[in-house]
Amino acid sequence: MTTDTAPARKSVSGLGLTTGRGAPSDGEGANKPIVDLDPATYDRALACVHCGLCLPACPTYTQNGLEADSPRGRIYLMKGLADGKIEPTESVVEHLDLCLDCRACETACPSGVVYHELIEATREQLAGKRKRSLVDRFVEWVFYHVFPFPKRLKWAMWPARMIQKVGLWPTVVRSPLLRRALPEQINKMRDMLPPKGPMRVKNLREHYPAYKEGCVDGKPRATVALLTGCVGSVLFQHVNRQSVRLLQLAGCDVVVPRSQVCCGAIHHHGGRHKDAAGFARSNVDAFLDVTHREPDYIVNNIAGCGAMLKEYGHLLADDADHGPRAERLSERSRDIMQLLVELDLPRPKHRMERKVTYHDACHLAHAQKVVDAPRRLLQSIDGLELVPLRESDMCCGAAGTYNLAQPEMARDLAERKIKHIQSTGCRTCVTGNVGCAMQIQSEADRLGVELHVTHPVSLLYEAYFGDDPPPR
Amino acid sequence: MASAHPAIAELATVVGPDNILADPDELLVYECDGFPIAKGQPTAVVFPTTTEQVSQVIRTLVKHDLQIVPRGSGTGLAGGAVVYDGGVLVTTSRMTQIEKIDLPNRYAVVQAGVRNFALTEALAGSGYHYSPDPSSQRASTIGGNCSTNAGGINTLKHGVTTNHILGLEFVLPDGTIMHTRAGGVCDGVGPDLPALLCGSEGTFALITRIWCRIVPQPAHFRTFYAVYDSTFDACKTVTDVIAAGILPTSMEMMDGGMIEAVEAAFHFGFPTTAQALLLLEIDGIDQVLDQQMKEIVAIAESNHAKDIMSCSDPKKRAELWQARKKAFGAVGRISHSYCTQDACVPRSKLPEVMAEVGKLGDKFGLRITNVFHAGDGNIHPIMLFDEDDPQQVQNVLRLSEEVLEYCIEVGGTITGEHGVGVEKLHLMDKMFNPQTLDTFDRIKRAFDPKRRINDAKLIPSDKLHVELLTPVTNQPGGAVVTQV
Repeated sequence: MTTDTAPARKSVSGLGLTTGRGAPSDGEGANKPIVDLDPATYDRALACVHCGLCLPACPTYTQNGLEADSPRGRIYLMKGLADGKIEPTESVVEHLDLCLDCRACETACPSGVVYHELIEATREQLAGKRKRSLVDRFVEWVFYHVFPFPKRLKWAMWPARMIQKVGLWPTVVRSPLLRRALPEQINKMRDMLPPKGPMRVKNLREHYPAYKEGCVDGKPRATVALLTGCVGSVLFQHVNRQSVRLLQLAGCDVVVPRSQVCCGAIHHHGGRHKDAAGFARSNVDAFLDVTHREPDYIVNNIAGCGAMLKEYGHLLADDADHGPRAERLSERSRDIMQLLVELDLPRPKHRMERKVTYHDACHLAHAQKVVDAPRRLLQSIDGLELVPLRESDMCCGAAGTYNLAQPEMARDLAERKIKHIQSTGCRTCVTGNVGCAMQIQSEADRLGVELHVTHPVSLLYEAYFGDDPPPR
Repeated sequence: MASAHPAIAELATVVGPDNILADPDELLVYECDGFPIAKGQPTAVVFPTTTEQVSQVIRTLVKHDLQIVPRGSGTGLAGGAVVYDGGVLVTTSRMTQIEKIDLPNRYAVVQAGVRNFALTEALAGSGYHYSPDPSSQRASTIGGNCSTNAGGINTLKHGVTTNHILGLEFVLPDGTIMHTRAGGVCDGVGPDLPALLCGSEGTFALITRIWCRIVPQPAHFRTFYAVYDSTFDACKTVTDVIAAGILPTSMEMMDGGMIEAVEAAFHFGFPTTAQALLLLEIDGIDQVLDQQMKEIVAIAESNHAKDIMSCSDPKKRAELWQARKKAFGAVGRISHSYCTQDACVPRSKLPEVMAEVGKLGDKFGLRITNVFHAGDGNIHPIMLFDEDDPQQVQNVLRLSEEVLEYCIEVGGTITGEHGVGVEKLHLMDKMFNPQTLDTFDRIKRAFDPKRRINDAKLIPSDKLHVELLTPVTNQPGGAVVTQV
């Protein structure tokens, strides 16, 4: 065996974590890394043993086969950034931006790497360092300043609802001229908007009492506080109303705190942790109000919000005032499917002769590990056939606001999803997240595929209450 | 990085600009595979999509005198897909077409980049599957499995990769496209070329297409589980079961340390005081399985097994196998870095081998846990260490070496299924005599006279030496490459 000191032999480089740029060297002194992760998060990067078992779980790697677009590769890049061994060049940032934060890799990882904390912390550090076009800035402004505020969103919706009302919406959607004139992200937003909805979305009441038939010894089984969601409460308020009635039937007193705000997920995923923490504090105050009896459960019907609520404990861990309550809020958070299974609803009355398939929202399946509950509830419906969907837990490309930020990859993933849905022969796809619903529906419409995407709550509602309108 | 290599532009014209990477930042993630101790940066990474492109790429690399290094998913555990000497990675991650499934003739034709489990998924509902099941099967490619002749849990009864390969198409290191098979016919004529390439670790040619055997999925199972107060008794059970003429699908063992780690992470309810856990499965015709299981239980009892459980319940079965499959993950939770060793020893020597491996770990001050394919005598001591501590990296490499040398001594081999790669190259002359090594070398030269493809892996090279045991300043774990 030879050694590196043998003079007759040339030593070849290409070793260690160096790329020749930003690498700490004795002469220049170590560069301060651009990304400075806290030790706990950095530790989680180290827990990756580079086995590669996450690769097939990752939607972007599945699409393009690039190691840098796999979880293992991204962890390697993030570790390189944190070690100051590489710089956040355009291509490095692109690979990190292309991550959906769907957390499928966490389900696949045998070593328990908490990937999302790592990518979110890195994104927080990189925020502000990337170049953005005017359109990007506008879209970002909409993300952070309109979406999370139901009142603003309602106003923003008004012109679109007007056009829909007078019947011009199909023209607006189809107009090739408009499509060419507008930036892609704006087109995408318009395409995702459900083609009809009320001009004025009414708020829910603050309290709905439990139905007698669900109570035990005349007493409600639980007090449940409902998070209505910001986009959800404007575009999918009917799902909230249906949820309320299902919960009433299950014997729950339902409260809808007026002071609740956006869960903060949009900001959190965008690396704006301070803003997210602000929303979290407001919600802790709204849901676990120190002057009132605390609810037994905090329920939501939107996978992304649910995952965020379950993060509050971690997000506000250092907050002496809100921390303990945030922890409790996280512990008591339930997706509605989860809670309905826990409360053991009686079998639904109405038969439904329908063939449906179920798409796992990432933030239900991977972030909250809710996989069986929705399937069990759907299978409890007489006559309903649940057809398994291939790659059911692979991201549809919605991923919060990802489909607006990365339209190409989002479209590719949606097409993959729709292809699998088509091969089930079902015309109805059920999914527990508004983002997924809008993504799959709008892409199916674009492709001319006949498909109706609906929330499991809506199907259950029909199975329990038939054509009865949900409560005001 | 100096200015771009002239080969890059030419390669881009072959595969298209979207199918090549040459930006140093993007190359970083390709500096290692599933054995991160070995590192080396490629000059470029190319992603051909067809065999013809692979051929063109190879001709271009030959013209520019660049090393060709094949790569699948990069899950290899011996550094076989690491580039030294500024070579170029040719990866099959975009060659993912399942081209044909022929159930009546029981074979499938796949491109080399198709993942092992993707083929089984594509066969879902047909009652057939692709049998070899390495732990990496969801991620690793069939091409990569061929290169390392991958094994797995079921291989005790159903055989390793080479037993399931009917034919191969491959590109020689001069760009010539070869294939050993036409259609679904059985080709028993002449030397068995697919068998020769199976396990050649990408050092002979680049495999591009595979004719895979597909077999009916076993329909009936019995699963057995027991714990022991001594590894000796557990190992004795394994030997006795085989001696009794029973061939289980799999016989897997965990030692006390591993049981503790798995329990701490996943709470399956295993007794943490146990010194060994044996997990065994038989498959076959339903009517005979119960009788077979009775015999196995009797053998286990005579070897002082405790908590014996045998069942035919698919749910319990899935649970028990989860425990086995999550074992590596449990290790990841107790140590940041670990190195999984891989060696085969005669089954009858398992008890003493386990004891000696433990002692060697103590000698280097490193913790070792074990989970392994006991039925094959295929041990996997898992050595826990800290990747950022150069001394520990050194100790792991030295410990590996001593463990493997010991395995050779007791009549074993230096690898059961992971391959030699760059990791175990220096042990080849301890494993084989000069005449055997020379024969290997002549076979290599028959395929690759100029040593252009994956040199200095598996077969010692006179052109390139990779030395993992010598540390480089500031680069813990990095290899030193010296060129003759």
